[in-house]
Amino acid sequence: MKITLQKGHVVALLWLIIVMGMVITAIRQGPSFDTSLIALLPVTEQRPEIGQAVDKLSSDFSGQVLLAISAPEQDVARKAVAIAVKQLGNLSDIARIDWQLDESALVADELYPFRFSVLSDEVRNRLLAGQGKQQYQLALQRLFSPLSGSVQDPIRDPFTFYADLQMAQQSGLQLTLEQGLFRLTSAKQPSYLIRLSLDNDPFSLPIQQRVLAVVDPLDQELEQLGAQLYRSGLIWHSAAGAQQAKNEISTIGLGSLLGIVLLMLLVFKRISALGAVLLPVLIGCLMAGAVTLLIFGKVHLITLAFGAGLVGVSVDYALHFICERQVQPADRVVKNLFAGLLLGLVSSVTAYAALALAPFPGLRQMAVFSVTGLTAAWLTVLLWLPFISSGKASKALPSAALLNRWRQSYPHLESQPLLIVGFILVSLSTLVIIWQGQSQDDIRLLQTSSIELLEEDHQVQQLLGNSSSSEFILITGASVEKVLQTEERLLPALQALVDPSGLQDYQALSQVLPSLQRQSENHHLVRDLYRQYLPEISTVLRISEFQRLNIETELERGVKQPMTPTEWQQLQASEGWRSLLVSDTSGAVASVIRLKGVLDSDLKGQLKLLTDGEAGVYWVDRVDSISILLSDYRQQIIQWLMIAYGLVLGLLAIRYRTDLWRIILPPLTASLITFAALILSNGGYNLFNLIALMLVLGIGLDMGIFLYESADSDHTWLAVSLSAVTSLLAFGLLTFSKTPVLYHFGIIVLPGLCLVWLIAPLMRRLQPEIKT
Amino acid sequence: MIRWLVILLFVGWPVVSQAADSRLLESLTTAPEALKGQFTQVKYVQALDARFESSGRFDYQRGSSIRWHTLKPIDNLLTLTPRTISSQQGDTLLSNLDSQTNPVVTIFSDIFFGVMTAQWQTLAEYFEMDIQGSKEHWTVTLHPIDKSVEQVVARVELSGDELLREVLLFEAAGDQTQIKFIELQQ
Repeated sequence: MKITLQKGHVVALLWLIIVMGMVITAIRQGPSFDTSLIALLPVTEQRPEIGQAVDKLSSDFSGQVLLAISAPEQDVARKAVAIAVKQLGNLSDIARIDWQLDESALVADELYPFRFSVLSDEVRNRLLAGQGKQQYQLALQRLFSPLSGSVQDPIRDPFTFYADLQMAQQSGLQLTLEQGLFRLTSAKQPSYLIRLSLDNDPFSLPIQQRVLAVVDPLDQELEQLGAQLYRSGLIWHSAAGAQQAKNEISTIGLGSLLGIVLLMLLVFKRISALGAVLLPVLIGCLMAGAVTLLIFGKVHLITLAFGAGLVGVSVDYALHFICERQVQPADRVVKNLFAGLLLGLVSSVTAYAALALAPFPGLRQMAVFSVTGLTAAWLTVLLWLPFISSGKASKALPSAALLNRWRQSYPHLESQPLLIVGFILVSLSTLVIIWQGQSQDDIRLLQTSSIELLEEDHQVQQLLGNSSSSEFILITGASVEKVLQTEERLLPALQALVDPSGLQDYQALSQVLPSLQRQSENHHLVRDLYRQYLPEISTVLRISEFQRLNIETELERGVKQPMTPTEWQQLQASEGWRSLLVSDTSGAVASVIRLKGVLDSDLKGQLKLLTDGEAGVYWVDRVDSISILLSDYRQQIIQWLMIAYGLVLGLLAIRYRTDLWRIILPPLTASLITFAALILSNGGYNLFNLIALMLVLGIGLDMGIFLYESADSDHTWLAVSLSAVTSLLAFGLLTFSKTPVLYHFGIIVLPGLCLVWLIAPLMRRLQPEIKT
Repeated sequence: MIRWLVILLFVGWPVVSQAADSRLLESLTTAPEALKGQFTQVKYVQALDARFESSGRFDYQRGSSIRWHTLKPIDNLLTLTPRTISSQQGDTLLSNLDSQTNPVVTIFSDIFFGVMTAQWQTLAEYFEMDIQGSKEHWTVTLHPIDKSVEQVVARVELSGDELLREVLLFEAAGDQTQIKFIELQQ
């Protein structure tokens, strides 16, 4: 006995070291939370290039904080910008602040050497159509125009290609410079843009706090001045998500914790019992959080929501231990409970681990979180609780006797044919309702940000004229040259779709970086023009023979200098365009064509048709794919729910054989009734309702297993009831959450667990075995 | 994203202290609602070290359009509105630029309208002004406030009496343009 205790001590100590080691490692890595939808997308969902392109586009965007400052009067708005810039200066160690033109950044005429290689669309089309004469006339017009706007150099560029190229280089952003500030041209009242580029992760809580500490007071200061501040950027959503989580943890979380504490004190009438209940839950959550963080780098908000569900399951183990402990010494308790606890753990772990097999990272995270948390809580109960609650058995609890009396008044299902018929009828009708139930895969389910914040963000983006990063055309190929050639084949058809009320504009790499093939075509076109019109222009401009030789030398020099992708990337002009080029380590290349405007489903169909015609070209619609994703997740969850039931059923059948129904029916019927009721009241169901059903299954099975294993002892019934109430406190309150995900979780768990608890006593055996 | 586009933009800086100057200017010159006449132009092109003469007709409606019709040695019609600049040769439209999508065009047409129709307030957004002479014969020299405008025009000299009579444009690369207005009719 002594030896086993010592062994127990060693193992308990070992567990303590593991827990502390994990938690410390995770804390050193720094807690980081994720609310982004992209994190939920399956890795194998689409081609890897698409994922990379999205990553590149979104990483360009994620560290950017855009502030638009607007006021009815120009001078007020400009004063507000000055104040804002001064305050934002406090953030200069973590962000770059762009609010005025940096003149040192101006590089004049860096594209001049490429004037024969990169022709503007207009010039190219003109020359292709054999209208070289127009180019010649235009060059003369520029020469005789009172204000030419570009350098007139008839030796190096007699046909003024460079002037055309300059004119074609225009921005997609609705910005102009007004006395050095970035003015938003499409805003009704004077509005200016300030951009912060964060050096750090916008999900990092300390970074969020620093930015908020500057911008929130600034917001108020500007309001007093009569100016408004509009925000856009991932950081605001991330910060608002963190704030909402904090609020709800402090209201709902604290409320449920208080409820649980009061309940424990009321039933056990001692503080140590409370500690014994909460400790495994705490260790479970810590370990789950630490392991998830270490494996995935970030904990997703939805995982946390689900992880909270862990509390309800893992609290069972401790409750059973303490309730048994009331009537038995610690070592006996472990021995008696071991089979039930192990089965409870194995069935729950099986159910949740099945989630990890699904190809969705979101589900995998939940599986890792749940399995780790459950196992850790379980180990804590077995390894630590015997030492914490050592000593003799306390006396039986009055509440156990009270609850048991109430349960005894329950009928037995098997001795009541009418009840059996009723059960069958109810189950059948729920099946009919569920069969007809509609799924709701609404993207709003995943949005944790408030509508106001989304509106504000959308407003700033619209003022800027930013193109969508969720809908684009992806072009893949073996090399940059191949990709550019494909783009060039595709663009005329895309151009034909451009319309002010639909697709307003697009941004494609080949517009600024033509393929080498096209550049060589351009050289031919330019040479032809020189051949045809150089004599004429030479006459008009009275160009000498010597000057004409110079002109031809300049042309030869120019055509020998194509613009290579590498050279282009060094140019300042490529900034803002470089993110359109995605390359991976294997040498495969992809480019993105960004689209601007209102893309309705009709237009999307046309774009899809356009891309389907070319090999290696894809139409990517992230919003659409998120809806598809939600529906995929939902279908997967249904499958896994079935598989989990099947696995657990098989496992339990080995032990319980013909009595299996006693264990499986309470969670099954409770789930069916709750689900059917939800469909009737909400008009449909979603992914998160289904995930909640997994929880009802987990807790419900535990109840059945423990009741059976303990031969329906009154202290087990107390433990089961307490577990049900604590779960209700923990999840039922989620029904009041403003976060859609949490709400949809609570709305199932609350009635589901109530029903399991109400149905379970019906299934107890007619003549309980005498306790050994 | 923003930086690259900024390079392509021209910047204007209205200077508050110029307000007094522009009021003085408005007292010096009158800008008729509509005006037409003829012009002669001599352009010196540094790269060729040559002068090119041209002449033609022009007319404007203040704030709505300017037509600049070169007749010799080529026939070219430049039409400016506050929103567009288009160039026509005979019946052929050579180019049509929209200032809504091209900020360069906005600044271009601002300067052109400013000079031709004596909109001193607009010019003050781009230039510092130096005024000399009397109401009978005055000269105004414009210096770009911002470097990027300097890339278009390094200095402008305007002179006239009750109306604008002569414009001298100096470009950064060394090119110069002299425009004289004759036979002005209001």
